[in-house]
Amino acid sequence: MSLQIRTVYVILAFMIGFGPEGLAAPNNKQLNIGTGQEFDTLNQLVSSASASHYLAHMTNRSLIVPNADWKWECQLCVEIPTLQNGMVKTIEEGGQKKMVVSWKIKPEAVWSDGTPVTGKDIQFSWEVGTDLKVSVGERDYYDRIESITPDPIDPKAFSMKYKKARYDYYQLSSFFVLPSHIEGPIYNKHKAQLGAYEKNSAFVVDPTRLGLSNGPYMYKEVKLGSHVTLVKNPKWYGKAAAIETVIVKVIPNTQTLEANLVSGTIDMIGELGLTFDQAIALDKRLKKQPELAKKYKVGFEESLIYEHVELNLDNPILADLRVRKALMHALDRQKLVDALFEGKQKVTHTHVHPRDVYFSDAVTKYEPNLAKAASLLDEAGWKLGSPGSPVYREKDGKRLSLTIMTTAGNKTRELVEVFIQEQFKKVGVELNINNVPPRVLFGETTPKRQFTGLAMFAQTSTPENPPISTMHSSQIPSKENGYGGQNYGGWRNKRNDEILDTVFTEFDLEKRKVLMAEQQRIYSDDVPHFPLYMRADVSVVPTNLKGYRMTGHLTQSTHWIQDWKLE
Amino acid sequence: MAAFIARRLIQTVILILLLSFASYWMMGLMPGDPLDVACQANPHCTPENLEQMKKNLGLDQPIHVRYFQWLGDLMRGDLGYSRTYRLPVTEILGPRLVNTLYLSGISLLLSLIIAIPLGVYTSLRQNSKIDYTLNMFAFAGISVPSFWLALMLIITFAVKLNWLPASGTETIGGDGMMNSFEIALDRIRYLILPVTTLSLLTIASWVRYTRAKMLETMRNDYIRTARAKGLSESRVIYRHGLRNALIPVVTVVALGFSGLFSGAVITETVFAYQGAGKLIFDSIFANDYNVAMCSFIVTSLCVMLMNLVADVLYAYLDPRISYH
Amino acid sequence: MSTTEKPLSPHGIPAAQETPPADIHAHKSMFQLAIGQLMEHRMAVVSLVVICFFVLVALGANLIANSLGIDPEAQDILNRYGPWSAEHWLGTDEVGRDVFVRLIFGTRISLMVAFVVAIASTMIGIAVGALAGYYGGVVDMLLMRLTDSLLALPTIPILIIVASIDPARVPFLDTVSAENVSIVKMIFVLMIFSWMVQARLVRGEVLAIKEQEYVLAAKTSGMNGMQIILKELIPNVITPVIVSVTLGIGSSILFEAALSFLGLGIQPPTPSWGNMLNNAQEIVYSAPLLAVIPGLLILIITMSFNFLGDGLQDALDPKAIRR
Repeated sequence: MSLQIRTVYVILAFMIGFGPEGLAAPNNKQLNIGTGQEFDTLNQLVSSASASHYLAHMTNRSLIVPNADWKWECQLCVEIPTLQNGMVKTIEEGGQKKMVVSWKIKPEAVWSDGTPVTGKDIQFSWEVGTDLKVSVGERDYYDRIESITPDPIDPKAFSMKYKKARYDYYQLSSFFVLPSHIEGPIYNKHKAQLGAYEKNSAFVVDPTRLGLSNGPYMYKEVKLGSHVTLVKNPKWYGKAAAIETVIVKVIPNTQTLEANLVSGTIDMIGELGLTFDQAIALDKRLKKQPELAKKYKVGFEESLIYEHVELNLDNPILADLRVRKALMHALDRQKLVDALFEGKQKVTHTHVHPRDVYFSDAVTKYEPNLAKAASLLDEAGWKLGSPGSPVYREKDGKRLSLTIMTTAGNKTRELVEVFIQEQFKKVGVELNINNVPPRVLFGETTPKRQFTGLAMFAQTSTPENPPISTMHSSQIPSKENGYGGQNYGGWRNKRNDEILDTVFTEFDLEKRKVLMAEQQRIYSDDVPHFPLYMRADVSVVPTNLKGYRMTGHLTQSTHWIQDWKLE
Repeated sequence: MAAFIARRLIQTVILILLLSFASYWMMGLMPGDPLDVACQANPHCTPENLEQMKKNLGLDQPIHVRYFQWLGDLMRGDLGYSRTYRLPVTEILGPRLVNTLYLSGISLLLSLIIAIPLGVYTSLRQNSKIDYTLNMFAFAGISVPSFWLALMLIITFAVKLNWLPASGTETIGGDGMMNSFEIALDRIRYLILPVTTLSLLTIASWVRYTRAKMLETMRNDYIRTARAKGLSESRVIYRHGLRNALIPVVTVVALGFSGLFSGAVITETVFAYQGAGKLIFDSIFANDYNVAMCSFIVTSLCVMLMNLVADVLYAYLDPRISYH
Repeated sequence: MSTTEKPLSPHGIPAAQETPPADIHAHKSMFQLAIGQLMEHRMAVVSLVVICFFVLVALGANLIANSLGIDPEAQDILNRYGPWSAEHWLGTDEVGRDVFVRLIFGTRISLMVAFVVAIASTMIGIAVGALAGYYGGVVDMLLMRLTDSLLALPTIPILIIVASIDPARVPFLDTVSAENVSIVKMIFVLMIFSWMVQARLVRGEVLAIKEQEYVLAAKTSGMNGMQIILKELIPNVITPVIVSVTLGIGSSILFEAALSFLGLGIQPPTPSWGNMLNNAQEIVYSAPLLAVIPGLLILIITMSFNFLGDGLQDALDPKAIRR
């Protein structure tokens, strides 16, 4: 018996101890990227998986995207159309303000088989994107356009007519441009049948076919659920890419992903891999192990993912503004981010990211103050009961008890939950945890407003995007509107509605900034949510990878893969 | 016998039909849809957009309508498309089943080769040191949480020693330079850790089972009779003991093979192995009805058929049982 | 069924036909004999000690925590992943809670869940098995096919459904305080999936003994079916069932850990070995002991129950006694 125990002990000690670490000596020949999420279809128009977008960013270019500095930059287009350069005109049709925007595609832009990218491709993509028989993940991009007319003379020029005159007409980052010379015949053959196009698209049936790519790379081998091999697109017209072959491997288990990195099977982990906690731990570990730190570095990039707690404002407890404010004072968010995130994810006071043009600092901030929290709660009628442990506040014999829900299995959120629970306890508020799988939370709980108290999740946005769908009172899901809208908490504020109604038709950036500053102030005064922090994107890259930059928004780093170099 | 088998087969078919409906119905009961999650994380996916996508997938139809449509297609030999990958189900399921067959097949064979002799051996050396040690390991084997074991194996052999790949099915991007022997060798390298994880449990329980059955048999009167008749010990053991002890063992092994296509969700997940178990798990989570139902039918059919095989084998091997 | 199918115990192994009916009147001597036999099984004895130790720890969790002056839920967010120290014997976890004390409370939850599941599922198993075995025919066929179906059923969708049940809407669950809901759910889920083996086992045993003289005698003396099942059959199949309960506890612990691995386990902050292990696996490289220790505990306790089950089997098996 003792012998066996000793053996087990020795084995354990061995496992915990330090052994030789993996060898990774990447050169410009090949880069193996690990990703934790599975990609679905490679036709990005149809796909709704961010892992597919991660791939598509290497192979296909959009008209225009926000770059790593969150400035909009032309990819396929020659210049950004504006009112000033005369390429944008507002018109009036049937009493509705609309707009016509002229675009020009780069003359050198071609598909990987040499066919030029033309206005016809854009028009065709829009046709597919608005077809109700095709399941389009981000129809918003296509739907806002009423028609597209290719220029009769210049094949590279076309004009878009928008249904509404809105300032954000140029935000077309996920408008996926299809090669009409390949996809056109396929679409025409299958368009009559529901869902037939997406099953027969060349991106699905024959993804390695020449002509599907118009970016720096193209697919060489595709094994769904396993890996994708990409090679340079010989007809790429932009800055030449340095790395010969890029392999993206799917490893859904995050620990295994890390093990693969350390053992050298993969060279880097992209944005869709490690959890934040894991990245922090790896970062620390690198500091302790210089030989490993020579090989890898962990990158953190603050992103446009707003982690917050949504409050069901129909709950009588939470309907009381004093209670909401008290709970904000009870919550030491700085302590939270310092302790859990080592300050790498920062406290936010509103939904607008400090890097966003609309950011305003003139908002109400709730400093941690237990005394203030207690007096606000007292004021609201929630009094401490008889002494004992734990002590929860009561009103009319009812305990001050709330339930918080979040996505089960998300470690970071579960940690934050436990932290909040502990903090609330200090001011006599009981917080119960009831976590459900993400699909339940986002498919049932939030859209049908089934959470009774608090729900913690993230709102993702793109740069320069006012939160109309998440904060306008018309967006409160209800039976009447068929559970449309994402204002799950049920926030109603008249002035906020007004601002969100007018901001989109305001073409003057400075005026929009003023409006949005006011919106943020109202938001911080009214406390419809508990703002927590802005999430950071994390990735691990080899130290010799140069030119790599995370963006912090949905247009991921791979959009600039031609800048990547292994030195 | 034939009538018995026929009856059981009919029962199996009916059961599968009932079960398939139950599963379809239960998958439909699962709240939410993966589209909801994807849409939530995308500011450009509007609720109308989401509604339309669900409608295109037929999710607005009542569950029984969808079920009978699926069943009708299945009867016509149309397995449908995977909703996630937009590919025909056969194209997705086929390679996964093959991968799982490798993984489970090898670990079952390995378990068979190792466990049965070990079981017999320990039973013959009952209460010896080696019996105790092996017994100890067998108990550990059936008691260890498999994902923990998998994790420990990865840390030891992939991360610390760097002998074996941490996860995956095969080396990717081998530049097509490998010949078939090298390909096989490569596959084996990836199989070692998951096979170890999987077989350990099987070996442990089979060793124990074989040992127990062997001991039980050796206590029987006819063994004593055989000994009393003055037969040599080896003849007693192998002719009388082993043969009779192996009858129940064979059925247990047959049942072990019923999981051949079910794969092992946890092992396959930890090792990112592209097997059927993980596919079923993923497709259920992804509401990918066609893939999930198809894999489900293959798996449960396999389980039930192997159950039948086990029963028949038993009857065949043990003359005391008759099926009228 | 019209076949004279051989009674099947779990895994389709026919129950031993020559099992003599245990004499219920000689219970006491049987019991003493069994204890004696059990004591001969060294590992079983060691295991029993280990189990008793863990049970004591679980029962005395509050006492231990109080005497150490540590609240299992008290966080010290500035001391995450703290090292082993005099204050925190096994260091601290991801929010700075004391690992040692949490393991003790985890012992309580894990053992409680396992015991409840094993006992409850055994009751279901006995009921189903006895009914199927005694009445035979259509009852048998329906119950056994149900058993088979459940064994072949994909468990994951059910787990997701159960995990998403709103406790407020379930008549029984709404009385459970919110922090315990996940525990009740877990017990419920494990129960659904663990009675089948018992049912088959009991059915096999019942089939084997129902034609015995004393059962026939009971029948002729005018007892009805229910009485015979309760008074004659169940007491006589109880021995293999005890063994299977013991083994069932072990497998419930493993099952709980596996569910936690799939993210469907007991919800924080309530500690269980399974969710502690699951929490730790993400940072297994930087804080390996957080994952190693709960894993080892699961291994040790499961092994102990398996050893004990083995010992009990030897001790209670009439043939082994004859040895």
